Amino acid sequence: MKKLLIHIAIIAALFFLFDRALGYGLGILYSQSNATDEYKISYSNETTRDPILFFGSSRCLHHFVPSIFEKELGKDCYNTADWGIKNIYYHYGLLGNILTRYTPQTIIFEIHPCDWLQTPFSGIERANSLAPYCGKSEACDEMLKLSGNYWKYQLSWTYRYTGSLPNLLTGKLGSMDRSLKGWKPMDGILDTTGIKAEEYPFPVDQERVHLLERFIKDCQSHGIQLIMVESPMYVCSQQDVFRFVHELTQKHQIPFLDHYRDSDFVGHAEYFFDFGHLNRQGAERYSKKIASELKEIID
Amino acid sequence: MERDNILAKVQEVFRDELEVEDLVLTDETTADDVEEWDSLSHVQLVVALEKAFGIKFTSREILSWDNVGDLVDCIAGKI
Amino acid sequence: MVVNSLAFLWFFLVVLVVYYLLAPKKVLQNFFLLVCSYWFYAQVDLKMTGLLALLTLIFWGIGHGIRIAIEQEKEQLASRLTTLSVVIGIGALFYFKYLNFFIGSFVAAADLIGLHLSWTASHIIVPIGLSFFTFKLMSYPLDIYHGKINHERNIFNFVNFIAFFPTILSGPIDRPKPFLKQLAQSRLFNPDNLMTGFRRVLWGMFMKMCIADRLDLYISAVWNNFEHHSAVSILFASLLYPFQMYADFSGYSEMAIGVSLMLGFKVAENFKRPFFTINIAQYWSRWHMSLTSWLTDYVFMPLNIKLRDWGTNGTIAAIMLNMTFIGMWHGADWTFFLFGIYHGLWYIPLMVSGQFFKKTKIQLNSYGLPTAPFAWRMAGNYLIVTFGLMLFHSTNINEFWAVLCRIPEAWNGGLFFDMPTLVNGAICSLALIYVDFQEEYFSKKKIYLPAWTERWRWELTVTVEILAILLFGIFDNNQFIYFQF
Repeated sequence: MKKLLIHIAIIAALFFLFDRALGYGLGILYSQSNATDEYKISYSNETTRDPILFFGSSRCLHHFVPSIFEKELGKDCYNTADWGIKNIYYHYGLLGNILTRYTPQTIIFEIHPCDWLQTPFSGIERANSLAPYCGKSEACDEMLKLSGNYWKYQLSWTYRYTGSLPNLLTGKLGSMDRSLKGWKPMDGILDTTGIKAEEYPFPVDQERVHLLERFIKDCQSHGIQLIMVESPMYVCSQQDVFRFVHELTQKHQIPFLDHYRDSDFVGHAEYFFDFGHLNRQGAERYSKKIASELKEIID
Repeated sequence: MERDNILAKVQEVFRDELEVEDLVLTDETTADDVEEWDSLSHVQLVVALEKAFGIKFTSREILSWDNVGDLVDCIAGKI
Repeated sequence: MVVNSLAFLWFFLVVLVVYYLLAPKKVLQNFFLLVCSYWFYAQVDLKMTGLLALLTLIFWGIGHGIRIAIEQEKEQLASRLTTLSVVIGIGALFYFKYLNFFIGSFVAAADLIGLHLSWTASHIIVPIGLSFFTFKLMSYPLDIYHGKINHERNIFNFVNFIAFFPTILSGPIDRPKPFLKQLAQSRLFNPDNLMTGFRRVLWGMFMKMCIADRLDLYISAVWNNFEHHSAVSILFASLLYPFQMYADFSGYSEMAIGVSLMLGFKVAENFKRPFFTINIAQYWSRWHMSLTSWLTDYVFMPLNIKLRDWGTNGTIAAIMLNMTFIGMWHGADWTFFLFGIYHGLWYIPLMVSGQFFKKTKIQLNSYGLPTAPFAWRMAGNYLIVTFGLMLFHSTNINEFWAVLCRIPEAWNGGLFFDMPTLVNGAICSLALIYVDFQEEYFSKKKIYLPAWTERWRWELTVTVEILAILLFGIFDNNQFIYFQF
């Protein structure tokens, strides 16, 4: 029995040593990788100091071209969005981490139904993308505790990088071009056969709504100008999908640029890469349009 | 037929069927002891034994043998 | 509650401590084990816990009856009781697993001749683990009838045998004799069992979480959207599938066997590196061994013996029936039926050529690896298995046919290559392949490592395995593949 306990103690010691060393090394690779997730999450959480930030899901990632906004608004911009249907659980933690480093002036939030509905395809597990930043801010840790992984990430630094080793090893060979300041252009045109509007037949998720409200309040209390946006789709739903957002933004006196049914884009296959994402031309045209609208709102 | 003769004849049948010339069987020998003797060759052995001794076993008898000794006893009971 | 979950970890830690504290008192230890097994099953399938207990009692009772009948030389009664037990076992399987399928097929056939029926049995839910514990249950009266074992007087031992929690859900399927024997004594605290068992659990977790669950991301992404994927992708995913299944099921078996060993029990092995085989007979002797040996002993052998006067034809018929049962055991659909027939058919050339009855020795070259002809035969065998598993994988015959038709249609198309998934999978798969080669061909050679590692070999291996699981394993839904089409 005693021998067994010694074995176990040795394992614990070896594990602590190897795990911290490996986790530390992986963390360094994480900041240097140009793979989409690794670059976007690390740069947004650790490095960016731009006064204007874009938040959102993959729709934001592919739609907003920082260089166009920088030209129009005369301020540095960074697009923090990542793909993988990131939702408010992720954004709230991300905001918390950013606020430990600096306070942006403006946040433009491309809102998605998964930020307030109980979408089965996107839930609390999205917060796990904040794993490398466990311990960085209260908000981030709160999200990780909700996802049930906080103590696991504290116990194992290696676990924070689970599944990402290939992307970490690709380093500079990843697909993101850092000069584009977070934007990921998509080249190609939508094949329109059989395209239907995306519907969201899901109930409202009070936890997510609550987090959205806290997100808004945190921005307001830090003096961050928050603007919500909704990008166009190729085909739109007949339902009033974004009524919730209109009510929410009215309640908190926040501008909401609703371009969901924007006729400049809806039905124009040449601007879309797929049913929900604009291609390079679409993103550039759309960014110019939004930039000129923002110019009226942002000081 | 004497029991020892039965065992000897059984051994001969096994040697022929399994193609192992120097195989030696005792009462305690089981399928685990002979590499070539598995569930597949078992049935071939049964058929060959039935032919050699001119007898017929029931399924129940065949499935009840644990070792060569059981087999020999079973044959002895039939001839 | 799956074995690779935190909930199970806590459960098992508590169980281990109390279990070994009770070790000197066999009766208490066995009773505690029984309580744990039933608690475990109740967590997994509360509604069917009563059914499990009821069936266990019935079979124990029948076993008792058969024993008494044999002692009193009442042959016919013994035979009838045995038949009754088989009928109950198969009846339970039929009702829960296959009734809905047969009704559905019957209704479909009736439809073809214009007769519209609204029969359905889709409300019937299969008790978890049914296919496994009914086989354990049925082997008991059959073994008593054939004089292989004595009736187990201690009903708690029998209940423990059937409900043993590490193996009740997905096997391996144990036989009464070896397991009941182990229950007859206490399992005393044995550090070697704990350490070896723990390593097997870790290895199983690695296989399941790092290889099987990872490759499944890719295979499902392609297979579930095969209408949008190229032939190359579909073929590649299909070729990965046997390997993924191996990692999945063998991984799960390793965990079950490891947990059992940590409790001091040696249970049946299930896999023995099945891809190092050159024909279908060899394959089945190494794949899901506890199932194939069960069916061999209780289905194939009796059939083969009954049909022995038909010579080779008799054996062929026995094999075809046996393989059909294997197919249908896996699921209630025509795909599984055809899967069984497909495998049965591959036995025929072996039997006709006489290869079936002889053990072919695989020749090794100077490197200790199989020579080219045998390597090719292994590759060919893998392809045979791959095609059968495409049937197995399909939800129904229509899907199988649709996938096959898609292949020539989508011939010109690139391979869908999700780099992170495939590279993660490749790294871990290579580790498994390396270990399997090591164990198959180089188990007698010693691996020479620096002396200091020798002292802490177990600790280092465990640490590395845990880190590998943490770095490469699939833990939640946050890992998925991006496929834009």
